[in-house]
Amino acid sequence: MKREFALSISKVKVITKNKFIAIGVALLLLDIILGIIGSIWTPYSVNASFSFSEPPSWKHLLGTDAYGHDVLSEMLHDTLPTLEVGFGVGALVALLSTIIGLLGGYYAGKTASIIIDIITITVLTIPGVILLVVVSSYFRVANISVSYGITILSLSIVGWAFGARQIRSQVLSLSNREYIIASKLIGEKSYTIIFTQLLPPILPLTFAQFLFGTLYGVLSLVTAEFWGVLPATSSNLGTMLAFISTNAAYVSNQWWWILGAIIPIIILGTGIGFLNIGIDEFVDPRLREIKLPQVRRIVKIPTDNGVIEVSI
Amino acid sequence: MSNVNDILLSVRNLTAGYYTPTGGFYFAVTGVSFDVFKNEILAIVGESGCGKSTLALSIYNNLHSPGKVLSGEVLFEGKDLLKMSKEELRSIRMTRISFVPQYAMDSLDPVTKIGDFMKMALREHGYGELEAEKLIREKLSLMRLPPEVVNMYPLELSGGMRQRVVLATSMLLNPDLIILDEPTTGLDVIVQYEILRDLKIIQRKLGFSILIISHDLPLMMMFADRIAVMYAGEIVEIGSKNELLDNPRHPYTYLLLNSVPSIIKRREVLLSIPGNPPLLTSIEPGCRFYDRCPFRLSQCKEELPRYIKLSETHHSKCFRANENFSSLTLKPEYYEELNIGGYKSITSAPSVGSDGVALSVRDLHKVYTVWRGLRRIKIYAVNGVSFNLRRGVITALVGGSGHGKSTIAKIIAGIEKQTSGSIFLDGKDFSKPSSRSTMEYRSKVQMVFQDPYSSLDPRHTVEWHIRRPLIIHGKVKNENDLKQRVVNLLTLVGLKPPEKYLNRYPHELSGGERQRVSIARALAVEPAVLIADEPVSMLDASVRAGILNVLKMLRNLNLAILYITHDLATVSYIADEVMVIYNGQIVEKGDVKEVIYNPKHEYTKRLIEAVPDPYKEL
Amino acid sequence: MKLPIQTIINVTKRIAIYLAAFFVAITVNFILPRLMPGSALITLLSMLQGAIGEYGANSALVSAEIKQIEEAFGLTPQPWYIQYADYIKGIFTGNLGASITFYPTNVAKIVFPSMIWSMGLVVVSSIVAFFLGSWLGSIAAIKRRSVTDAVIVVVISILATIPAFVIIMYLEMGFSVNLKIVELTFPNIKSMNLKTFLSLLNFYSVPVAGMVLSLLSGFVLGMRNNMLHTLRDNYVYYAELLGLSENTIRKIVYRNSILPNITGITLIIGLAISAALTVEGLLTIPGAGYFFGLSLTSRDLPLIQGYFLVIVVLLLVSIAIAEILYGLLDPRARGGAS
Repeated sequence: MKREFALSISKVKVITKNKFIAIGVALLLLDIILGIIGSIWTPYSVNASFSFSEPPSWKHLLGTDAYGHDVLSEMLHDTLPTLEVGFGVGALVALLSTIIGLLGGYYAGKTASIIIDIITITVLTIPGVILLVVVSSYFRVANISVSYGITILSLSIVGWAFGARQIRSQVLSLSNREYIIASKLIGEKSYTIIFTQLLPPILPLTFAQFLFGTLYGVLSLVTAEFWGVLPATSSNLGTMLAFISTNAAYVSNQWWWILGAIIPIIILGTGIGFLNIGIDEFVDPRLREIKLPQVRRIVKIPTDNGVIEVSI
Repeated sequence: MSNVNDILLSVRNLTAGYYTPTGGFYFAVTGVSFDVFKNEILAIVGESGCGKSTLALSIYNNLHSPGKVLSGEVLFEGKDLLKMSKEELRSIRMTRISFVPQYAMDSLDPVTKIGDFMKMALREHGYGELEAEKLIREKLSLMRLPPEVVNMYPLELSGGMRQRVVLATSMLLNPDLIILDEPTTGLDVIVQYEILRDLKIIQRKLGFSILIISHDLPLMMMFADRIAVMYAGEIVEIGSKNELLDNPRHPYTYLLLNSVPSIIKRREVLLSIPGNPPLLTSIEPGCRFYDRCPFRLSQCKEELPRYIKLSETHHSKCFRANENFSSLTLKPEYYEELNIGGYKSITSAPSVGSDGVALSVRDLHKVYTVWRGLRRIKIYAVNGVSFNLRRGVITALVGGSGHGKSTIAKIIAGIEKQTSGSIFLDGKDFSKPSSRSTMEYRSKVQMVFQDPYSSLDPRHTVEWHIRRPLIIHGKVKNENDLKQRVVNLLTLVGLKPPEKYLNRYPHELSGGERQRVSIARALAVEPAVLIADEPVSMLDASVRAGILNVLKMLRNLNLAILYITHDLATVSYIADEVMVIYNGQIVEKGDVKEVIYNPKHEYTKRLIEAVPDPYKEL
Repeated sequence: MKLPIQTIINVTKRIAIYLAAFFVAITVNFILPRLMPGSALITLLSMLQGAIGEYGANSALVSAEIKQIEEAFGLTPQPWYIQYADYIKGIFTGNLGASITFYPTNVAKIVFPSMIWSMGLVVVSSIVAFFLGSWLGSIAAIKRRSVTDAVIVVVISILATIPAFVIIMYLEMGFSVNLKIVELTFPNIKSMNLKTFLSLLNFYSVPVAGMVLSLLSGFVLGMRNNMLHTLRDNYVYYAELLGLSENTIRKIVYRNSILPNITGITLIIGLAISAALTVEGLLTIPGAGYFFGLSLTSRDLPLIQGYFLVIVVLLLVSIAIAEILYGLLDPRARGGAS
């Protein structure tokens, strides 16, 4: 037990020493904090009216929009719902793609796997955004509003396919390793093998899927809001962008308004980018880099031809 | 042969090692010096971890981070390879010195045709299309490859053919020296024999030198002119093949020679070397073989032995090099007598038939259908095989790769379905493939795999590997009982002290230790039949004997053991009966001594010819 | 190219799976509206009644359409398998029902031409993004963890989160509104001649640039990933030992890594189509984006369904082509040794 604890401490050390992961996590936390702040406090009320389309000034750090609202306040207010959808989709996509990938890879070749294959391809062909807006429009016709739950669900139901394929191929190659066959031979039950032996090496991929799913969730939400068919239960960065589009804010050069809508997204994207770089050594251990020590020391080696001094 | 003018390559004081992820450093090669002469085959032989591959890469100046060459010179035609510029090195590679890495046959660019690949390599060295084609044709035919190979992709060729391609590529520009790093690992024993035989003929004809790295001492004794034995980063003995064979003057060489089974000189007991080679994180005074040496003196611990010259060509790095080791006695741990302890019989259920037959296989067939061109062809992987496995008897199944041995093993183990044929275990019919996935069957039939590096789960401890079968098959009543059983099993397979191994992870164990854990895992189930699929072919020579001795001991526990291998020499050491398989059929079977010393079938004879044996000459 | 029978069998198997997926997809399209709350259709029908007044349409024709929709959505007491059979028949005869907004025009007549126009934008952007992205990804991989690598990956990740239409907003602001070198709106084309063709190209430069920037991420990260693995593969090492130059080795690695990147298209093209539609909506290009947006706001269910179906089929075909192409080009995917 003590040894396993010591080993996990060393693993944590490797993770935190990794600068890229550290920066990535910091940025994600920054975004989350921004969202939390925005949900309880904004510099001005989101509905307060000021003069229209004012460029940034000390009073309004990000200026005002075409309706006279303070852009900074809007940005802070809209961030958290956007992030919720993003992380929700990320988590669900990670879960689904892992489970389906595990099952598809372990049982490869059997009929169940072929069915999974067909379903995966079908799902690959349905773009999440399109499904979401189509479903929303059906709901709208019935005058039922689309909650964020339905949004997350619709996006996740089709977002797992790409990752499931990746995970499946990895699980397939692992399943052919001799230690898995050995486990089968000693009589281990399938679900034990899958969860205690096949899942742990897959976890970095699962995490990568979470990152991908979050990006995909935010992007899809924002794109879907563009069509204006999601009767939003609360405003999010997507609704902000929808207003920007209908007002053709680019024609009137209101760059600050657009910027306000995408700053939290940029922070999220940067954070995920760093995390992506940071975790590739876990996904493929061959990539682990060895750092040469800063301080060199001299070692004396006795040989037949005398003593050699080397510096390491 | 030892004229100074005949020196082709000179290595002086080479020291190299690797940086570890935690910022440390360990040495792989320390102060190595030797010469390669013209027109000779020099072998560097050593077991895993001795530094031979590092040595080869360092010589070629291709040791990459985290490896580093710390000091030394590699002199070729007056210039030091280690100090050359990248451009100079590139001009030497392939033209004057070629290097064939380990697993080169898997290193061919998968999306390029063989011919195009070779042309590209030649183009880089300034050869035009026509000249290139001529050279390629020449060398392909030299390596006995059909000319159609130029239009094929690597995937379309067998392992042996790919290795010939790689060797042909290395010879394209008629270099003076070819360095080969373990050129025959992973190849079928007969293919290995044929490639080395052809290579030697070519070498004698064209007159270049070969520096070959290998862990297979008997094979090198057949192939090489001179042999350098490497241990823990040093060359401990070097001499001509005959000198080493008749007169080994380093304890390590001596023990190695006595740990390999030979058909020509049968030994009743094989030696094994207890312990593991040291990891050179620091340089300690004294001989590095001290801990494991049967002939050590107190002097050996304090002083580093120097080379003692036994003849012009024969040197040994041991204080006792002038003595004849065969006259000295060895302690029992080198014979690894294993104690059965409290285990009288492993299997819980006695056999039904009085003739002690545990497993009976009748008329087994396994047929695959593939497409070749426009026709469907049936491939008979297993073509009418029948045999019995008796308790207390080790039955060997011998043959080259691809003749069906592993398929039979997998079918019996219940991993694969047979096309037809019956299988009886203790008289009960288990011919239906699904019946062989049941707990009942699995509790009686177990398997040990070939590759020690992938037969244990890297994320779980040794204890976990032994616990699981005990728990699944309900062999224990409570936690204490469980712990005791695990310890007993580890002791049984020779892992002493067992407590030290409980919490180790596979990557902390050597190959031999891992195989022992695999055997213990299989034994935990208390099976009637144990299938050992090439259990020692990926292990070092000095470790093999230990595992083979474990298997021999298991026979006394009333297990029926099927020992699958391509190495007839090991068969002559541990098996009672042997079956030779060729193209899916058993072509010869019988008592071990009968078959080996009086072979009747052509294939058996070829196997006997190809088996590496230090007393043979290629 | 000589094709072994085994490859042809593999390709046939893949095509069979895609056909199966096709049927599952159109079945999903069939089931989806039927899962929606029933009041949806009641509202729709009342809209149609309103259509008589709003659009001045012929009441008899509208009544016929109402009946058709009732049948299509299962409000008539016909068993589902007959509805399904009619639906399938409708698909294969190209009869997808009539649009409400553009009554009585057949949905297919609106969807097909507009989608083909939009696919032009999608295909051009995807191909440019593939080559540009693969090149950038290879640079990032070679200079792993350097500043160059970090900059490339981070910029790409940011671009991945910013929707295409937002990128285009900034590009338009820069090039159209402020620099005035690119046309802001879709040019009015009375007839096609060199002048109108050039103005079309000029206009499209920003949308294509924006789409490419938005789609880069998938290819860059995919290529970077592939190359990181390939660079450490045995054959790179072997090539070095043979004394091949760095440039040659890089070319080999590039070639081996870019082939599997083709399968990245399977992910990208779905996003590309969604993005293209939004771009067209933003810039009011008379393509699928415009009509799709209209169908959503005017709740034209048959038209929405039509677009959904056609998009799914287009995606299916694109993915199938990409995978089969990859299977033919890469010997590793073709099948093994004797």
